[in-house]
Amino acid sequence: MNKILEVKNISKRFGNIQALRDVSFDVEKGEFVFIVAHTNAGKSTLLKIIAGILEPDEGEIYIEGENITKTPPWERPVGYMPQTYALFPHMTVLENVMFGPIHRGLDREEAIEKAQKYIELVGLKGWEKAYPHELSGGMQQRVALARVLAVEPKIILLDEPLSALDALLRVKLRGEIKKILKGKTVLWVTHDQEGAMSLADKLIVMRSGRIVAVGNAMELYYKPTSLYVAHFLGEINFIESVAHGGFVQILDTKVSTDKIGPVVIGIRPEDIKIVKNNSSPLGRVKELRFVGGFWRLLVDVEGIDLVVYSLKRIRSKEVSLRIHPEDVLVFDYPPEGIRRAVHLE
Amino acid sequence: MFSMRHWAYITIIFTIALIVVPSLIGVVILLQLAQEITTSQIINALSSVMNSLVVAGLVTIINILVSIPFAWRIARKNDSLSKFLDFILDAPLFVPTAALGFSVLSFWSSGYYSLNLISPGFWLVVLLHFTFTHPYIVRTLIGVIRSTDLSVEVAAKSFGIKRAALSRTIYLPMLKAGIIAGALISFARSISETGATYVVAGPFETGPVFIKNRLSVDPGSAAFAAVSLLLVSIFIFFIIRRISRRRFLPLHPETKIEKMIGLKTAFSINIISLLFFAVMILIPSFYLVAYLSPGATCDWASLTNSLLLSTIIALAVSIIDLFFGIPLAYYLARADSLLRDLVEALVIVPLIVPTVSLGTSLGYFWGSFGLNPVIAIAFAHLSFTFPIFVMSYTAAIESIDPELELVAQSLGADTIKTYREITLQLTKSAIASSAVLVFTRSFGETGATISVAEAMAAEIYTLPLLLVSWIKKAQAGLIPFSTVAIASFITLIIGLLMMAVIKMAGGKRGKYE
Repeated sequence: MNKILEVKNISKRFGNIQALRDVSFDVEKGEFVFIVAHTNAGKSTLLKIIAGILEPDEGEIYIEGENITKTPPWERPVGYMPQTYALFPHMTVLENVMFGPIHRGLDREEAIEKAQKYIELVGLKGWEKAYPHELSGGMQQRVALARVLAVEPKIILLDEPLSALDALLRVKLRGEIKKILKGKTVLWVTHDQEGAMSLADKLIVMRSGRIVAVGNAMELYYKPTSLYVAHFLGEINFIESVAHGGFVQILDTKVSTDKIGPVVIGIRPEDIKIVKNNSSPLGRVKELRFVGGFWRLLVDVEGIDLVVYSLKRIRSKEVSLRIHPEDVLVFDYPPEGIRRAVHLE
Repeated sequence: MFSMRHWAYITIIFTIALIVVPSLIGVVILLQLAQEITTSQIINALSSVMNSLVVAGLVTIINILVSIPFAWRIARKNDSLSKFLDFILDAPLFVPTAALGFSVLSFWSSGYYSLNLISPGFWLVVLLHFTFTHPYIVRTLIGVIRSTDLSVEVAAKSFGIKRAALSRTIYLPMLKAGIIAGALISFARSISETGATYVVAGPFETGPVFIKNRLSVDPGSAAFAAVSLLLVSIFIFFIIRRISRRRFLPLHPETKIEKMIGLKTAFSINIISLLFFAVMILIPSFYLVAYLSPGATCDWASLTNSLLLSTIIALAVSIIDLFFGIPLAYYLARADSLLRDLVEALVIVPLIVPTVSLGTSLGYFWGSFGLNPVIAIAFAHLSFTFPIFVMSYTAAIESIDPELELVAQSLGADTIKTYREITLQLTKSAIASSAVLVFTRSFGETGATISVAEAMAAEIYTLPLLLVSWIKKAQAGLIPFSTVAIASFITLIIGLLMMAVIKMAGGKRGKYE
């Protein structure tokens, strides 16, 4: 285990708002860690605290075992890239990228050399003399990336690096960034769960300033620890039910559980199979919508509305559904009710 | 390690020790003078203060109304008219206030070729105050308009909003900060101006004129008026600040009244505002030039000496303002604490103290240390120019995205390097324009300077004081008016030249702006 970053019990309050509550996690060398959370959950605050721009009220930050909680930002071996990129408007691409190396003590020649190396790495060779306002959004983002890389930080902190770009470019650049940052230790903050799940070695889910889940993407998606995480990481059907005798039932599927009493059953729309088998429960198709690549159905089965995904277009008014017991999640019924338990805040 | 914050703290100590404390001690001296006065003296003093408030309020409100379209024109259109207006805008500040008063008096009232429309009194004071408050409001507004985001306007227009409603719901709130900052400076300048007002007031007495008239014969009344003016000003500042925090200009569609008076054109080029600038401000300010006649001459040696003295004082004051004002402005723009709010309030104090009472009290204060009168005058100039620089430059720094600084720090630059390489580079033109404001203010100041000289019983002639003495002699028929005119004209030309140099030194507006 080679821990680069350790965040220990960080809390931060702005006036009446508790931005972070007792946040702790580690990032290991070469890991790609994503913090996903809804807007205003405190994720940008957390990055700023690690970068040294904000001071935490409580808790400590360690880099390679060294406590840097009181170290000023310019002495921290971290690279911070804000959402707005914050390229220096009065400097060329080269000057922007050189800025870090110069202030980290390199002489001019070395700084230029280093800057050129990273400008080339992000694919902007030939644009050294351009000013930020002459570049497209995607290019600006790559300049910001080169600028962070040029200080060769122990860990790179990215705050929503793709949010300013359009959807197509976002998917393309997501892959490119991953390639550019290969082998680097990265902490990436986003509200885009899909993007996070496709890139992350480790996923941290935050809600109202608290960490609610840590794990790898598949694990959290298929075996979420709470209703909130299940709901936040992708569409899911929640059905209220009661467990007794070691079982709960959904349609004709019996699932064994050690829970007793009121429970919530969770099943992902893609895990409900449409079958041509008359013995399976029959449902009425209430809604059919093409959502690009697949179809989203709302099916009424025995008075329960289920969202079901289908790769093929469904032309009949009725469908038979089958659910495998291993795809079914069983949660304790939350005392505050399902709606409040999954409320995004 | 030394950082921007340490520098700011040193500055705060400097500000309090050299600017705030002397001004406050001056007030205490005045309070002692004001102890035993009669009811009729109190009533006279208070009515003069009331006059000042009415003038300052009226001038500020009308000024804002005509300045918004004017500033909009200059900031948003980049043609030669805008460039010309931008250059000529500060010119009234270059006319020393005494000469300005005389010039305005000549234009509207008595004198050669005069219109003979308005005799000395309330309305002439109002007209005079337009000339020297207008540049402050327009300058502040231009800065704010240039830094606002155009996309907001485009978005609002896409919702089909009517022009008048757009003005009220989008433009005005966007300009709110600028309007309030400009109004504060304008109000403060108007309420404390002495040198020019004295010339045009006739029997009408504003607070500062009352103070100047009584200072030697009835110091008690003068001191009482000075303290009342100070308290009232602070109260009004407080009220304006409070109001500025509230939401105003509510959201609703274009109203009938707005349609009727055709606010539609309010933000496009506005002939009225241009005319206002030409007729009410520019021509009256420079009307003195009409007295120029061929072969006019004056005491060149005295003029050169005074010119040199005023330039040295203005330069020294500007440099000190910059040196201490930059870190303080940075602190005020970026810090968020009780100390910050306190310092901000304290910095404004010398600006609200009427210049005559400021000058008198500072004269007594520094005189008791046996300070050289020229240095005492420079200190007095520091007191009222420092707030102008700090307020104006603070607004400029606030318009720079703090994220740029945070990233620079994260990349390895400490706070001082970050300021030097990022913030300073992006605010160079604001420093230059703030420096112009300070330099012109010091160069042309009359009221405080004359009071310091009188309080210290010193024979010192800065350029404005020389002009005042010449105007007095001319009015007494001892020397021809052309002497005053030529001296004012030369002052003006030199002032404009210096302004051009300072502006160029500040660098052209870069492509990233």
